[in-house]
Amino acid sequence: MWRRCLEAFRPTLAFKLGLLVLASTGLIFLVAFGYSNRVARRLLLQAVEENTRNLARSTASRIESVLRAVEPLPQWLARNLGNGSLTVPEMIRQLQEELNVSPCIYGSAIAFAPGPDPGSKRPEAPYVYRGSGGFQYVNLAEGDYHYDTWEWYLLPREMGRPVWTEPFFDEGGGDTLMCTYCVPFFRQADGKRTFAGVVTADIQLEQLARMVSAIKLYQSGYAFLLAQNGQFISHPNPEWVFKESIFSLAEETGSQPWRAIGRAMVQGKEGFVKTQAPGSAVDSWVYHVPVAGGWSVGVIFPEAEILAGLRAMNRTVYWIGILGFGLLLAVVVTVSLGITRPIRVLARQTHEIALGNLELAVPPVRSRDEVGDLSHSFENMRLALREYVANLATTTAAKERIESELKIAQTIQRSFLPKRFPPFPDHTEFDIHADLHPAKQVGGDLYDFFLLDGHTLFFLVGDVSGKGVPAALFMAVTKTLMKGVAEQQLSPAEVLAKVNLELAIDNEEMMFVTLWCGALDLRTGELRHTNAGHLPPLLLRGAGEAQWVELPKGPVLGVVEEAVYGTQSIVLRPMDTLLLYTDGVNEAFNTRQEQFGEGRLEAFAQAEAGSSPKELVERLFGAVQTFAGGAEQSDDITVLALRFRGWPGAAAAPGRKPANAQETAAGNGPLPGKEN
Amino acid sequence: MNAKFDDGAVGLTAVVSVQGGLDATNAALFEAHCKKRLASLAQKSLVIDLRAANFLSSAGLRSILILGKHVKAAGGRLAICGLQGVVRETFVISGFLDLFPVAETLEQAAGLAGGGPPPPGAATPPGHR
Repeated sequence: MWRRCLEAFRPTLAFKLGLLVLASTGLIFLVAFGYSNRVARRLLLQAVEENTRNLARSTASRIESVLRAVEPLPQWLARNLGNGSLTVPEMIRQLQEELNVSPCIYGSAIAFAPGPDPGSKRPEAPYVYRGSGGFQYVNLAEGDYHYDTWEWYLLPREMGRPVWTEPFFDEGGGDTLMCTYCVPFFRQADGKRTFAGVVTADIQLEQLARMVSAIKLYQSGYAFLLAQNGQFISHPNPEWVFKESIFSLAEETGSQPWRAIGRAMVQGKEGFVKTQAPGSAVDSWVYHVPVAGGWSVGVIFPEAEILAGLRAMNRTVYWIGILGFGLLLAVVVTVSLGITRPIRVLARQTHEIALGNLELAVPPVRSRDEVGDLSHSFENMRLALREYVANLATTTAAKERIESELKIAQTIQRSFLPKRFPPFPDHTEFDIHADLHPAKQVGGDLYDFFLLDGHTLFFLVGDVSGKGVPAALFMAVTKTLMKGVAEQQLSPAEVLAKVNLELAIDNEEMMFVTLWCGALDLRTGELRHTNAGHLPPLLLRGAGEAQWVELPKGPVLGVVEEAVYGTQSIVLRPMDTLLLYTDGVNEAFNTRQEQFGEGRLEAFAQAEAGSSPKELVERLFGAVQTFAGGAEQSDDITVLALRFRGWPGAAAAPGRKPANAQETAAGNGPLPGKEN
Repeated sequence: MNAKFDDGAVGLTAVVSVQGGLDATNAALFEAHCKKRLASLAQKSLVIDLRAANFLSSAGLRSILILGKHVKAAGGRLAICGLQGVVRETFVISGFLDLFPVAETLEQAAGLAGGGPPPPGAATPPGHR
């Protein structure tokens, strides 16, 4: 079904053009869009990476600067303590000064190493910190606070150098989350350098956490701070701070990337990694930089947020593309319809014209391009064709008129010839029959018979040369002349001589007639006949043999003005039959280009000797037609048969003795008749 | 009727030979051919060679008549050469033997057409008694 629909669908030129233009434009647009999107994304990521790096580094350096700012004071104090001893109030004053000088120090302590003897009284360990109502003083050597078990004391003692502790909650001391910078101090005794105590300076982690958590990136990006062991020092989720480490988190979520990120951060590496935010499936980017002291700052933000701008731009570009595409479609359709309009109109009009409506003008095209040329040529062709058809119609009409006139001429010509048989019902002395089968073209055959007086029958068969109207006219003239002259009671030879003269005068066209004529005396059977170039008749004796009638010499009528003709005489016995014809009989061709010929004619006559004139005529036509087969009849065919029956009163009243002698109209020597 | 017209010449006399038949279909063509031949040779007299002709209808006879008249008007003569079989018969029956000089060979025909005295036994001119 769809295939048939597909076959029925014939895309127009405009459609094809539009499709092609839109497809190529769409392709170009897609490629350009894709490329620019990729490049923009890369550039954006580069810019974001740089921003984030700067942010992470500046955060790290701010943290570092806080830490560095803490370090000099305890170092100075430790150096002083190593050189001499201070009273407790002096130390407290020193510590208070220290806090005064350095606002980022939360608290500071001096802890002396206890005596070597176990159980000996611990020395003073003054600790000054920022309390709710100003500086607070605590002696860490009192109460349950066994400072000599805390990391901040043990680490520097063991390592012999200043150390930052891991974050811890200083319970019983500052009672807050802190990191402590601890500097050991030593005394020289007996030339030996012995550990004498530790000076500390605390920073409150809350302060650092505030600094880190103040960082906001895009909508939901944030920073976090990791301790050396991967523990969160700062994170927007307060539940994780000091409770979770990046590794425990990675373990919980089974996130391999986060484990790798944690490792890299703990190892103090810097990096920009794409992964999923912890505890969610949002694609995010993480930038991490190390902070002095083994810490690490990470900045994390969802990818969608940095790409939001790009997405928005893409949407805009997409809509611009759609609108542009629509606009282009409209333009292409308009333009291609405009271009192809003349072609479409031309196609529609020419289709009409091709159906035969030549009156339909091809619409004028003003453009001077190929379409204009085509229209112009087509219009010229239409006009030429219309003229040609009009001419053809005129010619055809003229031809039809001529043909109809020829038909009329043929009818008139045929109406000249006697067609009623028997023509003289009250004359039993003879029996005559004749017929003429015209060829397709009007020919010039003729026959005629008439009684000159009560006992003389004049009859003739002739053939005008050529065909068509001239032949028909010449035939009509000949027949009229023949009858007119014959009635003057002249001998046949004299008749021919007179008619010949009439026809030959001013015969520019060299038309001529072959003609045989005879006058039969019905009382005696004497036939006086003459010939002007016509074919010899056949004489059928009773029911016996057929023989050619010998003819007097004489040229065709109408050529030689002074021509002479001879009259010859034969006597017909009762039941003798004379068969006359034109060359349409013996020159009839069959499809093998063979002629009917005199041989076949003679054989026919032999076989049909006993037949009546009517039968003879009809059967000869039949024989010729059978012989010709399908071959077209090229010439008129005329056959005339005359049977002499004898004078009814011949036995009782013998008529004039048949004339044996020959008359000559023009003085030719006598020619013997066949019979005589 | 298929026919072929071949041009030739004997001396200064134009000769047109007919092969095949002359009838209503090609008589006009034959006539035009002969006239063209005469014009191209700038000759007045013509020999029509019918030795290879096998059929001659009344239209063919008429074309010969017209050619005879044409030649005569120009002051030349028309002669026929080599009548055979049915063509001879046609000439005899129609009385054309008396209208044109007829010879057996082209040379004799050319002689007849050339205006010299007709050789003995040649056709009697028309009207001679």
